[in-house]
Amino acid sequence: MSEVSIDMFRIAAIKNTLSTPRAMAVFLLCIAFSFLLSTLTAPLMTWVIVLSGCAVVVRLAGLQPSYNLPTSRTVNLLAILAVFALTWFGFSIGLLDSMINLLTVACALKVMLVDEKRDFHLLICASLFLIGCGFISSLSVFAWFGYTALVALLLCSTAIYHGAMLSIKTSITFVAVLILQSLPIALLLFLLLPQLPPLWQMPTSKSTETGLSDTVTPGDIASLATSSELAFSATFEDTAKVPVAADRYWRALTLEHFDGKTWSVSAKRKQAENQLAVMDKPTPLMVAANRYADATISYQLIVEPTQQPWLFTLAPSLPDNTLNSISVKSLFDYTLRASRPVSSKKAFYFRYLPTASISNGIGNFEKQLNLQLSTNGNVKTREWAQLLAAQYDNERAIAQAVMREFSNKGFRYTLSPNAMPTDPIDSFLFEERAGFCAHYAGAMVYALRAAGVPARMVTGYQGGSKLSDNVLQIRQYDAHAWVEVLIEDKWERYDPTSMVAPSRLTYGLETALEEFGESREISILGEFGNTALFTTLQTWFQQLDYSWSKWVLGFDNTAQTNMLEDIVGALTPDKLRIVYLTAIGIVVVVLTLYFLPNRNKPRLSPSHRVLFNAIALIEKQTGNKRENKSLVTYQSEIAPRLPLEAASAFKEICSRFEKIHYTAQSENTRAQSGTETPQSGTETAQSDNTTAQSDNTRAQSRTEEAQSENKREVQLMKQQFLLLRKSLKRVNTNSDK
Amino acid sequence: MNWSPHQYFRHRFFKWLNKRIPAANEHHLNLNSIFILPTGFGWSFIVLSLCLFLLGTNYQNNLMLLLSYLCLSIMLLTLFYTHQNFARLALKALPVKPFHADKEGQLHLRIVSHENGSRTPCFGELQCAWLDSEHAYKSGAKLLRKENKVRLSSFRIALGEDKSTSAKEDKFVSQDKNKGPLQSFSIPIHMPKRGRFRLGRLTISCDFPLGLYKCWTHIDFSQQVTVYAAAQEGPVTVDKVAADNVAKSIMQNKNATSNEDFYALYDYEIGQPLNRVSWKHVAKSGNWVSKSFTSLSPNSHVLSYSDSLDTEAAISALTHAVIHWTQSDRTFGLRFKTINILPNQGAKHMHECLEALACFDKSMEIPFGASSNTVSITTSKKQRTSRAEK
Repeated sequence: MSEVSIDMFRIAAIKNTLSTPRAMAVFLLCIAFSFLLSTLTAPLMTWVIVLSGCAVVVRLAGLQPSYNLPTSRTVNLLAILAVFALTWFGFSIGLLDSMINLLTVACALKVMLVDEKRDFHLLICASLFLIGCGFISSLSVFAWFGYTALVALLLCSTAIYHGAMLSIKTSITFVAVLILQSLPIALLLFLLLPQLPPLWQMPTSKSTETGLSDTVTPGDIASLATSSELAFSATFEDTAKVPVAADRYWRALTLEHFDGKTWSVSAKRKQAENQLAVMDKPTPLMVAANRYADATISYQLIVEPTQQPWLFTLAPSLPDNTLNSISVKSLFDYTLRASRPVSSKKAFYFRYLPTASISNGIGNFEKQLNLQLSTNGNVKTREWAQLLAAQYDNERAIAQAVMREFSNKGFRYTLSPNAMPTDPIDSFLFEERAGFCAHYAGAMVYALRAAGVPARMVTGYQGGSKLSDNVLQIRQYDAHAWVEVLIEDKWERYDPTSMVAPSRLTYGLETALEEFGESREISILGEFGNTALFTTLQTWFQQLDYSWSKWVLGFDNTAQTNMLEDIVGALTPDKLRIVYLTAIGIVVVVLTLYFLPNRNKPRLSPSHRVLFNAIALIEKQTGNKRENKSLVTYQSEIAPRLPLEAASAFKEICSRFEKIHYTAQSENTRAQSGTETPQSGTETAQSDNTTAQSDNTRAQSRTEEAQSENKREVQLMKQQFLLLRKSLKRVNTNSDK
Repeated sequence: MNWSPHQYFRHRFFKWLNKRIPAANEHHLNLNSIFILPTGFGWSFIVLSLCLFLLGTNYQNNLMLLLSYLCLSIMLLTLFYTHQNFARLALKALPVKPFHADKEGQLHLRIVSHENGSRTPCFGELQCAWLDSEHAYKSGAKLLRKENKVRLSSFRIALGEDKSTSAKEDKFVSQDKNKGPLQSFSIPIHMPKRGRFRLGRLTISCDFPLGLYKCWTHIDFSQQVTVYAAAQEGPVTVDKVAADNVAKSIMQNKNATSNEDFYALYDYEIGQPLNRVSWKHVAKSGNWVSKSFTSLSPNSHVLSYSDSLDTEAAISALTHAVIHWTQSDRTFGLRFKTINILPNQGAKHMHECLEALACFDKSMEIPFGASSNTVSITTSKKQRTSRAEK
């Protein structure tokens, strides 16, 4: 056997294996499952992905008759192993992720054996649920389209499985139509069904926690800087009131505790906050709100899911809890917290008080907290700080002196400083003199505290690029750390980074790094990344993503209420009832549109149409109505009243019409009698088959012939009709003259 | 009457069914005759949608909510699609041919065009089962517009898996494009007991297109079926009925032709019994000739069976004898207890005899026997299963 024929044989074999609808359905299911796996790489553990991939391969190979599926014993053994592995790793990856892993493993094991209807249905449902889980982390437009395509693929697979050998194309068309038809209904439900608050606290996924954390070790922010993912978008009501680049400090956390290496939110602070919350004491922000109520700037944040409660705001900002679907509370350090972690894209509304300052929230407590300093290590810094303290008499002068130190002593701004394991502040200030914002902020706070000036580190984002006139987009690489110093009972902002790399504030991180001969990331695209087309595309995608976030992801209870109020005015229970009834009505109308058979519009055959047109023409001409007369009598009745040419044309039309319908009828009856072969029970299935088949082919060829004949006849009828009309027109013009 | 609640509800149910879907030879499925409920898959789909809704609400994730609503609306639309498809089915039953109790009968159903004038045929896999039976004989009929031959053979999926798969493969290899609708298919009938029965209600269900819903109907085609007794060889008495009505009895398993007088030789025709071939002539000339006997016309025979023996065995043996005698083209009569059929010959006569035997009722002899002539399939099925257990 030659090589070619072997190949041919192989292709034929593959074709054969997919020939049964069941095999095709399983094939599509496997494809859908592997696509699903490739989108779930974040929550899934590597061994789960490998196992599932292998399962898919095993099942696809099993489609060929020469390969056997694994026995259920093998799969059970694998299941036991997988359960052990899952329990072993489960503790380290968190509840949600281990649940997703568990479901995937279960699916993978089922995929290996799927053949029965029950298993198939189970897999379809589980895959749909996994798609739902996929939405936990992927929220973009493209994710939605991709997952909807996967849903379609799964439905196609189901349709083929149940389609009883209908062609695959028919099944695909059916599913496409089904999804297109159900989308409007789904959308209606989405818009009108009440958006409920979360019913219970769900575990969050560790793998999807992004953005700032509540501890900062110098270097952490540098790692954030490599990510260009969106952190949040800010939309300002008024284009004129968008703050200038240097003022865009999005304050998130105050880190007041330093253990020699890591800055973190102070435990004492948390305790104090809790106590004050119990005492129901109004936060200083609330007090400030009344004082500065007139000069506020409203803006909206659409926050990407961080799985963390903290929010990033222009300081000081007041949460507008009448609009927020997740209520936001302010703390005594003027930072803001959502009442639960932000687990999906959410819109938050704030009012920025540009004129207000951040006051000392809890009096002496804050002062004490921010003077604390570990007394071992970093000796040089402390000595230098004491020198400064002796040199200058007030806090502001000391702070300015530290800032001057940074600008004068040749400090360098870099994302990849050398490691500073021992006495990090000393080695940064006096040896390396190169670092990132967290290094500068950390060193400055340390020095100030050593000099007896209360200071704390603040983290958040700085900057943001304009998407449009009133929309700012802040990405992960905008993460920043700076310093707040307590001067005259008010916290003043000092940004040591601005001394070293002034362009960081006004032009962003990339420009700042360029000045020091570094780049944020090595771009694979290289020069291509700078072309106009690429930039346009990027902007376009950013716009799309922003609109998606705003209108789809950010659609919450408030947006829903606003929408309904826009339509029907103030919402009263009565109006709501009407709204829901109309919604049901719309669904009913849509369904009748889809399914009501259009009986009131019987479709005329082309021959009928020509005949009726001709009769209408003649009726108009002669005023003689046809009514219930048969064609022949009518024709003979009107023939003398028509010009000769017209009469013959009409006669021709009638005769051809009769021919079409008479022959068609006789054909039909013949075809029917042909297929009505008596089928006795004693005949074998085989002979039944062959007779029915040959009958069918015969009938088919006969009907095909008849159809082409009919078409010719209709064509001739049309010609005659044109003749008729022409002659009648001529008669009319003659009589007019 | 003393009815258990189960029987009572069953009776009520059938009464209600009779009112709702009256028995008829031809059924055009419509709103009245179709029942529809989600299948197990359908329910799990609904539960899945609810789970996605909960997940979406708890994570405040609009995309999950959208997916959940999408699933729900697919569920809603499929309800209509499933019903619409099934409501295109119109069936007409052809008269059921009699069959023997140990064999399998066939109810031939023809698909006719629906009275609502829809042109699209009903698609999907039809599941047919007899309603009366708990251990219903299930069979799948695949119905679709394309590939006529596949349909007919794939319907026999319950009878032979090989045949259906080979047919399926054929379909792809030959790529034929027959578009004629499926004409007919047949439902096997198992009836282990002789008699004349009324075919009960047939449950036909279909889960096209997505298997989320099951549409079904219980239809009664108002068909009578005669089940002949199983043929079994036995000691049948053959009485020679002379003109003077003096019977001389000879055992049938002796030479059955010994009492006949030779009449003539004819050319042998295929199908004639070999015991009539005159082998002497064949050996001599090579021409096949068969002997003809004169006894057939003046003296006909009457088959009978000793009354004292088991009735069922007697009927089986007589059935066998009737078939055998008809095959050998002989004239015979039948006499057994209340049955008395005059001698005659031919297929019509055979069916007459067989029917008489099939419908022979023991209760005629035993007074106060309450069993009716029409035995429901359930009881016979139960007997069958109990017999099988033994």
